[in-house]
Amino acid sequence: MADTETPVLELRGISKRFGGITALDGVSFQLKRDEIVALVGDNGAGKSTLIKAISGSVPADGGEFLFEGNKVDINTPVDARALGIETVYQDLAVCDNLNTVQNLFLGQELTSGLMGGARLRKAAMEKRAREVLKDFQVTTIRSLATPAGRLSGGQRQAIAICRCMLRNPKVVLLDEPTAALGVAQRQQVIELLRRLRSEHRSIIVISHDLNDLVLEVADRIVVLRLGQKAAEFNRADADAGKVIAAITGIARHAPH
Amino acid sequence: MATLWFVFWKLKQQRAYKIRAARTWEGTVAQAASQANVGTMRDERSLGARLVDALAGDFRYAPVLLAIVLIFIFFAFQNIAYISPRNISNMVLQTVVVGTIALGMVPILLIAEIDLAVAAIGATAATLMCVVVVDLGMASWLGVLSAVAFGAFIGVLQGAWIARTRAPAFLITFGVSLALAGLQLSMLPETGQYNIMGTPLTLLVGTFLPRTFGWLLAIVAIAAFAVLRWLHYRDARKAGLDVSLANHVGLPVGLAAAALCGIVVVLSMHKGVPLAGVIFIGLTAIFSYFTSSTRYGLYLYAVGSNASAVARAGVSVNRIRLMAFALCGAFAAFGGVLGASRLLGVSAQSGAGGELLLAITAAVVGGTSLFGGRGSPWSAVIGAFAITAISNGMDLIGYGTEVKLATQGALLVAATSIDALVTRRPA
Ligand SMILES: Nc1ncnc2c1ncn2[C@@H]1O[C@H](COP(=O)(O)OP(=O)(O)OP(=O)(O)O)[C@@H](O)[C@H]1O
Ligand SMILES: [Mg+2]
Repeated sequence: MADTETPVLELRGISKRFGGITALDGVSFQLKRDEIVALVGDNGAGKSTLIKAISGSVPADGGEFLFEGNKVDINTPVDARALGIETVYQDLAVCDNLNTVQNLFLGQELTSGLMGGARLRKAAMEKRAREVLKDFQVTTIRSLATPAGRLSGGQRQAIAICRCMLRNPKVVLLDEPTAALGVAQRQQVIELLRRLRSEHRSIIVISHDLNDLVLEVADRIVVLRLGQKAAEFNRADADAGKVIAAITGIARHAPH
Repeated sequence: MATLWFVFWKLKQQRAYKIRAARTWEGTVAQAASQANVGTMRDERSLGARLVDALAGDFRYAPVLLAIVLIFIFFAFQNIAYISPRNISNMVLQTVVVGTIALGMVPILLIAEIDLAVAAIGATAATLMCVVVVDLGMASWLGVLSAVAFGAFIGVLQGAWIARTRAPAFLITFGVSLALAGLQLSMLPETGQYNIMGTPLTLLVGTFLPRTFGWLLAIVAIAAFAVLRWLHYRDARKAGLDVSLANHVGLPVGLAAAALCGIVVVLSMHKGVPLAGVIFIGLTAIFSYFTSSTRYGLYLYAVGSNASAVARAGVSVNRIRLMAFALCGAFAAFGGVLGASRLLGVSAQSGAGGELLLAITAAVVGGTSLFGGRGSPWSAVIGAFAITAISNGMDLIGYGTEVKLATQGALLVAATSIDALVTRRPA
């Protein structure tokens, strides 16, 4: 029985340098159970780099991670995945020529085993795909056989998010999931985030969308500036003015 | 005839699907529409756009099948001998060599690469086979085996190099083709050619199956296809999906059986079903199972469309590239073996007769995209047959090489342009 007070994930002094550039400089914060943390900051502040460090695709070169209270090494995407950390990247990892089912199961296809001809179990996957899409109330994809290239941005984003759900993760990292989406589709993705949280998954989401996403659904807001944590707010104490001030570093702000 | 049937069947299937979809989705659509005006996805695009979509999807074989019918009608009116069982049998054998090399081109095109060394691989592998069989006096099957292994080996080398360096494949493989041409020349004896007349190697293309055996094979093939379709159907049923026995098993098996029986009837009127044709179709069927029903086959398509997505999904993209080039090398080598068997030997001219461009043209004419991620092994069969039907007809009427070359060139330009149009790459 895990202590509800133990953070699911804790970052301590995470740093990353690219040659002469310090992309991350001693970033620390906690992600608690059933919580959405929004990661905000200006372009180049280091948000994507931080997500990549947690997901293991660009390993950090300083600091440590605690997962459910235990110190862990995250050096490859496999390490992160083994812990139950899934990532939805900024540039969607969707194949335009594959259909919804194929995209959902990419890399984790159900097959009949070598004795059964290594056949893809297409029907079983389709059934499971319908269940997952239904769970997340993704109702606008009319035909699961339609190639993803012909779906809308919101539908593709929904596929990308549902795909990581198939692995039943504890922590979900999303890099700008609402960028390039229309108003209605953005709303759908925000709904998806809420549903993830209600299923007891913890979320770190990067977004520039202060009003609709960050101040609406995030429980806490972590502000990065030039690779450092500039501020951290609980939603109750945050408003657009304070957050923007922390992002730009122009006005005074009250660190939490 | 089969073409029209197929088109008709697909149209019917799509209509039935739309009606079913409309019923099931009434509720959800209303819900979605109330949430916001997102994606009710009614097709309001222009007829042209929908036509392009249809050609990229379910109807991808329709144009080329229709073209084959027109080619047959055209040449049959010029010379009725064109549709004689003897000539059709001949066409099948001509198709097999180019078709096998084109089959190797398919996985390469699927991952959005190109291999310009296929003809050289084929020629060099065939020469190696001759060295093994003629010079060293070893068994024919060993010769064939070493040729195919050699092709796969060259493929692995090319694939590893291209995957590692990410250097443009067209230049790397072009370089390899020159190097292989040099290697082949050095392997040939002083006479500049190997003659395999009198060795069992000629039987590969020279053998025709007894009539009953041909029919038996056809029946086995149809039964195997039916079992596969049925397994599919059963799985879908178990998963509670909405499928019908007629649409899922009956029609495809019926169409395949009709086409196969038609071909066997015609071939039986001449010498019977050629062994090389059986091998070619068998390889295509196995390869098609691989691309459409196994995970690594699916990855070929995925890599061709978004390699980084595949990498993030935890699949080694370089391994897929390696596999594609290895398959290509093996098929190219076997194509070379069939070519040698047909021409009764190899010479410095082997592989220099336009096989490379014909193989690419065949795959593209058959509907495999040069831009990656779209196509099928059957495109090699259909495409190779289409271009063979044209060149065979021109030979029959007595057109000169100049007309044939010009036609082949025009065909490549046309097929590539249509491919680009259908793929609609944004600028
Ligand atoms: N692979 C890399 N090599 C060198 N520098 C890098 C690399 N990746 C990121 N950087 C640098 O690290 C810094 C942080 O980049 P990062 O992508 O994390 O910013 P971001 O906060 O996600 O910005 P945006 O809001 O524009 O997505 C930038 O200065 C960037 O140039
Ligand atoms: Mg970023």
